Amino acid sequence: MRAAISFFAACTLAAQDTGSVDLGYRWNSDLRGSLDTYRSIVNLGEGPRVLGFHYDAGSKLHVAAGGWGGDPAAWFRLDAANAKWGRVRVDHRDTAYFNAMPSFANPLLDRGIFLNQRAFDSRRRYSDIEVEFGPRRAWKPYMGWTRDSGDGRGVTTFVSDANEYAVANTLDDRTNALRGGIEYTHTKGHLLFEQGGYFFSDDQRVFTADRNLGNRRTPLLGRTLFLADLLQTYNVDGRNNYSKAAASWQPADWIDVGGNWIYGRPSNDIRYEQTNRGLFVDLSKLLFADQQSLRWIAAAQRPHTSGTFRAELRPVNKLRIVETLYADRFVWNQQQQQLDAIADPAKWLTVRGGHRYTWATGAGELKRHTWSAGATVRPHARLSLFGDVESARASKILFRSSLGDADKLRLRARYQAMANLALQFNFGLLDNKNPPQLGAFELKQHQSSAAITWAPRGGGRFRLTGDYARYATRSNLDYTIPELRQPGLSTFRENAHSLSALADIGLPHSATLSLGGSSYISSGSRPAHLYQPQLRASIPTRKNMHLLAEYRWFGFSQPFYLYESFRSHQFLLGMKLLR
Amino acid sequence: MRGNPCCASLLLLALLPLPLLGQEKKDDCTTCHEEVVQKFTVTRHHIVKQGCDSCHTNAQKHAESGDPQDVKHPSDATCSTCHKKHNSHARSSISCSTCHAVHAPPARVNCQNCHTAAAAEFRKPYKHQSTQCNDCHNLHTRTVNNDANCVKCHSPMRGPFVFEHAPVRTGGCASCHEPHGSANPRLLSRAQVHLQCLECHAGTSTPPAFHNLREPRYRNCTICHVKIHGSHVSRYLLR
Repeated sequence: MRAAISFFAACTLAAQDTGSVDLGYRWNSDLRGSLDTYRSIVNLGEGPRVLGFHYDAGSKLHVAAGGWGGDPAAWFRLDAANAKWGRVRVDHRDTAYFNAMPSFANPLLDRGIFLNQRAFDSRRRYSDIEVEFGPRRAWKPYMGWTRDSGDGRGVTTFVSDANEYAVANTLDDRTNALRGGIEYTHTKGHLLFEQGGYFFSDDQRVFTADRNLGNRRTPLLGRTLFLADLLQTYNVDGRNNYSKAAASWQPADWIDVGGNWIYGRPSNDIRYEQTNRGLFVDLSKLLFADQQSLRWIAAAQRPHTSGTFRAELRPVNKLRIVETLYADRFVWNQQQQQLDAIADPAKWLTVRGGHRYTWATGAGELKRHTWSAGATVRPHARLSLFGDVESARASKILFRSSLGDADKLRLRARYQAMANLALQFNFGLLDNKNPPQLGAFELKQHQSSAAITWAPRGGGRFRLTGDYARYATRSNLDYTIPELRQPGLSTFRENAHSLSALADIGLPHSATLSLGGSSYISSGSRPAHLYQPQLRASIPTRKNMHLLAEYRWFGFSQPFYLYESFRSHQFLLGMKLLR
Repeated sequence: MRGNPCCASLLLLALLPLPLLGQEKKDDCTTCHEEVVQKFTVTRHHIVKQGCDSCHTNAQKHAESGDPQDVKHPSDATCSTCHKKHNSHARSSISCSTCHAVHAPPARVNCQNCHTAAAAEFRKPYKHQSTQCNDCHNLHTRTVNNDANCVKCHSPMRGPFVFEHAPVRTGGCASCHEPHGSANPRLLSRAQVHLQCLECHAGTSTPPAFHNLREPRYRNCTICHVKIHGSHVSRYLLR
């Protein structure tokens, strides 16, 4: 404790430190449409909020936080460093996870019942603390602790032969992970040893005390199946101890070698109990029963080893040859070998080419060769162009929907037109056509985007940032219709436009007005429109205080699922305190 | 030489300025690059006692001649002398300084400056709740353990399961989900759940014929196959 106090005392605050805190109160107004969809997509509620916080004491202390007070994604980060004591990093996230779309997992939709049978309202909390001890010297010991937990409630289904019943569900899982190690750094290389492990528990409880007819509409052999009451518990306790080693070494100026190896032994112990009453059927024996009781104990254990090796050779100036090997042994064995050559024939030009072979064995088999080539051209200090092509050919793939014979293209251009105007263009294309022997699968995706940052005269009076992206996905994959044993075709289409822009306008007396927002419009298999315009004003009232006012609007609609549409107005009033 | 006071005096004279050399270097840099040095003093490099000449070799020659060509400007190899983490962006010729400001305090790395299309995916209706890119992506490929990054938060899907769902292990979560954002609920890559499943479950692994797709029960696969990511008690992932 004394060491901790000394550590933070050593991170003394000084006059040049900067900080700010944004506080506000949010109102939702005129929320119309599906509340479940609103919560699944936006989930911003009413009430007081700490919208943002940061404190910077040079490189000694950095604290930042946001979203506290009930927002769906709250976070906190701390990074404190001291030449004598070392460094502490804290990362905490608190995420509300709500999902209850009326159209999803709802077999009763055509009866007009908007009950999602796989819904949940839960919170996840993730905390990570890492401490590096002592001053930055050759040997650096460190320790870390991670805790990840989730709890909540929801709706799930109790599955019985010939019927399934929507019932209440409670979720509760916790993981505590510890790690510690030592890192040795030398000008010619580094060495790291780490030992760690986690303890995991997952307790799920599914229950009901209400009579439930389930999703089956028709009697079975003249009898109506039903569930009267149920208690199902699912307890999983898991653990994994792992050892890790990593090293890199530069034996000569022209060669670098490095790699890492991790070995773990994850295992789980499971207890499953189920007691249910009502009328059920065992289809294998064609027997009806009014009560069932099950108790299972199971265990899973499987060693997990993975490792990488990397070597970089520089046989001549301006040429790099990089060889990378990767292997993972778990439920499946996966390996990858990659060889790349990167050359800088001129100051303005970098060219590269390579080959990657990926192979895996397990329930399926994968054998895929990928060739790649690319160049980065810098014809002018203000312009850089980047291009990459990849072509993959597979003789075996793991699943019918895996990429087999795929071609990829990536293009990127950055142009600093003026000191205050930057433009960027991106284009990406994926064209996959698996041959019939692999299961004919056609997938074509392309993404184009353009971004602009414009800040005339340093951006004091006006600043514009914006981007536009267009996506198109086209997928065709055949399947077998189970009841007919005839071929069907699964098609998926998405044509989407996404636009985002924000203009900051400087007003007299250092006030600022920001207006903009984003929109997403798509057509195809599940067309959707999502609009999020916003208007924000910041008015300084004192030297270190600004008043904030914000208006946001959310509008969501899906032409095929009109009952999932919503719209909402949001107002926020607050203040920003500056140091 | 031991008995020669003249040599000893000369040696002493030669060594005298050494303790001042570091100070002189700092002053030399500050004379012309005051603004850069001012910013640099609040960086982590300064805290760990790294001076300008740790990265800019030949600084002394440059200070004497004033010729910008004399000083060596650091490359990625210079960074990797101390920072042994492999730069996974290097294959695409993205240098360390593209994201990191060496002379200024650490700022939030703005990935969307380059990855605009990925940033736009977060504006799709169903988006991932992560707050920063490096919550999920290992920008320098330093793995904590050999679990996939997704199960860092989605730990109940970690396994090992007694009955594994194969794509979760081999193809990863992206076999079925669009991790940044999607127009489909649950970040799925297909608009209808039964098509998502049947695209793989066709041919030898086609579901039995009682899966009559004309009934809505069978178009919602996960209301029966509730443990779709893996189960400990049911081969068919029913519980």
